[in-house]
Amino acid sequence: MAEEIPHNEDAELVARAQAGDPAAFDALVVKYSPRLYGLVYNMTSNHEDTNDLLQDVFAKAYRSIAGFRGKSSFYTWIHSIAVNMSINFLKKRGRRYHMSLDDTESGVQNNKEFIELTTGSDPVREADLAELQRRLNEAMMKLSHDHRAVVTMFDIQGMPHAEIAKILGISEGTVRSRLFYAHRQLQNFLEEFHR
Amino acid sequence: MPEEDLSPISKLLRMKRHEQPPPEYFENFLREFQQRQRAEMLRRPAWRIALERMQARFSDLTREITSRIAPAQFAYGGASAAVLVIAVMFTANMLQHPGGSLPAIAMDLSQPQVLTAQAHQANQAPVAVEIPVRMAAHVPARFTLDSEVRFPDLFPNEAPRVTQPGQQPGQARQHPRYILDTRPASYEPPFSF
Repeated sequence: MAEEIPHNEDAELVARAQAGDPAAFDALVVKYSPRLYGLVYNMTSNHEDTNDLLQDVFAKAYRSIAGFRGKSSFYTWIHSIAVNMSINFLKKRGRRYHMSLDDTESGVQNNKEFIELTTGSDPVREADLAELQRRLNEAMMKLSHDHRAVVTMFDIQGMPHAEIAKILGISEGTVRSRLFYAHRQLQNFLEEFHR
Repeated sequence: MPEEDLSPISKLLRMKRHEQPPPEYFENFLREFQQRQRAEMLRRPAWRIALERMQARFSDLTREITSRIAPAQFAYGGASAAVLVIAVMFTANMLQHPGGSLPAIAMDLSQPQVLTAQAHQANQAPVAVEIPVRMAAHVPARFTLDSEVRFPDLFPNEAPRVTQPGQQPGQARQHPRYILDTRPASYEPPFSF
């Protein structure tokens, strides 16, 4: 889902939206909402917050589209808005959060990798995988907002380092170092489970 | 990145990309977005929309300018230059006034002086109050802010009032005390319970 980054047709849709065509902006919403949902959800770990934030992200983009000059791609621009708004939201929310999603019941069981891991496995192993997913979510929430953003975009969404660097406005080296640090932290958080 | 190159943590994290809501969620999402947009457009005045668009244009322009001409190192350089200029100005000012002495305010104390103050009352013109002051005869005639002034020099007939550190409120005092009551004595009730 995540690897291909189609920007070419966006330029035309953006131009039409800037000219006041609401259908063109709707097309952009349809195209980007699943991707941005994954991004915002993995930052917030809460469906309700994700829904509200995503509405706000597109509302902000709609208000600002007249000022979008095309220096970056629409893809980068809308992702920057989503990441910045999510980080601001998380800063306001502080440590108060609750995970609304039980991962093993929300689509992950349709995942090919998950099926491979669990096929023919015994109930104990299935329970272990569910527990692992739960712990992974908890570990993600222990990361700082900046590190979580990088992990979400790279590991979960499969974006290349260069694209993440553009979205966050940092160097590729910083992206790599944040990833390294975040992976190490996640490894430590999950170490207890691996033993 | 090929799957086999991924760390175990990355493999686990990749599973999270399948955490998506059901497909009908996104159909409803667009509908909800359109409804919210319409409601928002009806609520907001046109000037505010125009203002937001202007702000968006300017923020993009500012970001573009700062990314081109003012990266972080230039900002630090500018701040350092500003500090240097302030330091040079301060040093030059110190060199103009060596010793840091204050300009002398001269007052001829051999003649009686009149201090004038203005008091303002509500809805009235300022009232000037003149207080004649005669200093002791042996006070130095030329009196500057640098010169040392002692109490007996100014008021030779008055002994300075000294408050002892250990003095208790009930103890007899050598000098009269003046207490300004918040209420006139005549309004005090004879007894208070």
